[in-house]
Amino acid sequence: MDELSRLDSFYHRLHPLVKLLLTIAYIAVVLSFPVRSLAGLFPMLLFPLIGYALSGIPVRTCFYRLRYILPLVAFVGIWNPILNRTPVMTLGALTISAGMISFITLLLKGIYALMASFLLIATTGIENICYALRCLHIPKLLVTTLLITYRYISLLLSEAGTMASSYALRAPNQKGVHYKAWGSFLGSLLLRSMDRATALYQSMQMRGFSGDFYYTKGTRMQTPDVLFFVLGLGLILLVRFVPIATLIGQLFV
Amino acid sequence: MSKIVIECQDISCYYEKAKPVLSNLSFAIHEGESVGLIGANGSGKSTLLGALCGLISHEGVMQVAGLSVEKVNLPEIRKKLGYVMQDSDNQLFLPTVYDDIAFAPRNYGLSAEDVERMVTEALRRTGIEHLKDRQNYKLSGGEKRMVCIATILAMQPEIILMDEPSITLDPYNRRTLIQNLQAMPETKLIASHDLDLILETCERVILLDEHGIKADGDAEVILTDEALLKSCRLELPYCYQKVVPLKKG
Ligand SMILES: Nc1ncnc2c1ncn2[C@@H]1O[C@H](COP(=O)(O)OP(=O)(O)OP(=O)(O)O)[C@@H](O)[C@H]1O
Ligand SMILES: [Mg+2]
Repeated sequence: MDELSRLDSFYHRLHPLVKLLLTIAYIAVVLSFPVRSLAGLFPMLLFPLIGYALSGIPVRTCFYRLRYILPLVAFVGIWNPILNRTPVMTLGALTISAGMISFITLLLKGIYALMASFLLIATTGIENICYALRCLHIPKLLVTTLLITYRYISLLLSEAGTMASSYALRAPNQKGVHYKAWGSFLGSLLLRSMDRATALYQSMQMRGFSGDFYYTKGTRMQTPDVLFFVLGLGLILLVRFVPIATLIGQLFV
Repeated sequence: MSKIVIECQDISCYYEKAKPVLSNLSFAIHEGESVGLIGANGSGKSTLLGALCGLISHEGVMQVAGLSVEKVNLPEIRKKLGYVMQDSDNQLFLPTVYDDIAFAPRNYGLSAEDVERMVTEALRRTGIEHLKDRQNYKLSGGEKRMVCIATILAMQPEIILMDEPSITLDPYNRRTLIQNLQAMPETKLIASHDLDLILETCERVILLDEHGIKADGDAEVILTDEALLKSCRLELPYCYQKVVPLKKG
């Protein structure tokens, strides 16, 4: 993830605050679509696609990295088609129920939100996002907590990896971790990663960190940043309130 | 005598109050002194260094750079202290070597050019310019070690605390480290089992044993006292041990 944020592109160079605000606006707009407005939601896909194109990060990277989270998104709406079978239209032999539509809407919303968040983190880096949050006067405490949590999750994963290999080296005949060892494994995983998180935080403190993000202090918003922001926000709102799909449909009628 | 920069009077350091790791410790370190901190595993070297940075609780009078080690003074004290931790993985937290070394200068509000200059200088002094754009978590143990040392040099601290600086270093890098240490005018407190390194870089040694200071004095005197070292689970530096003649083919 951090590697991706090291790449250089127009989108990477945008001011973090612009990216943060646009992402929040985009997610808010996506979530604001009513349950059955499938037609309205489709054009919203445009924005993440533009973002990915501008940043040079392939969309498939996002889906690959988020492959474990995506099923969860699907799971949220999975009951809809079963619970709500009111038919709304028929396509040949296939009857499409209201539940199916709302399921697909939910699924799309989830995927869009994930795509947008991934793009933000991948092109901005967690420190810069925290800096942008501080620009918005979000309290130091919350922002630092966010930063530490983000680092903690990566720590947790790397500690788990280390422990699993150390376990595997001493239990060569076994596949995975024996279920009897799960308890102590998890316990020491938590303790270990907490200790490491503390130590890392201490290392930050020792080098002058006090909850302020001095990183990007020099960078000012420039005209392209502001333009991009206005343009992006305008387009998002346009797509939200003008039923583009219907308009295009009417063109052909 | 020059001014005192680290002073401890009758302090005890502890993780749990009931079981202090160190107790009744008193010593003073003067400006510009290089002091080696030695002692067996678990004798409390890392604990003492941590306590001086205010990372571990202590009781008693402890002053660093003229300030008492307590919460209100910590930011001021830490500005003057550079601390190389025992475990490199705990020290480095940013994705690239460059960013990690630049972290402290940036935090102290230096301009972009000054940050660049400090980082370049630190990389040059440690001889790791080639690692600049590498990812921290993909470095070898010794490479990480050198990066840790560079992160501290870039801070330009007045007082340097090092915990096992030479661990995992190859002979060449260890020599670079020793030369760096010898060239640094700053006050240094170096905890290590590498007694030869201590002998080359420090004029004074503090020997910890059984929760306290067993000896404190001239490095050459303490490091040649075989009986004393043995009683503390240490041995003579290699340079004083029996020389094995090279076998010639
Ligand atoms: N987080 C901790 N909580 C409780 N006790 C600790 C903790 N860390 C260290 N100790 C104990 O404190 C004592 C001193 O540890 P310390 O790490 O200071 O030793 P050291 O002299 O640095 O040893 P080494 O040469 O192995 O690095 C040890 O007995 C250790 O078990
Ligand atoms: Mg130690």
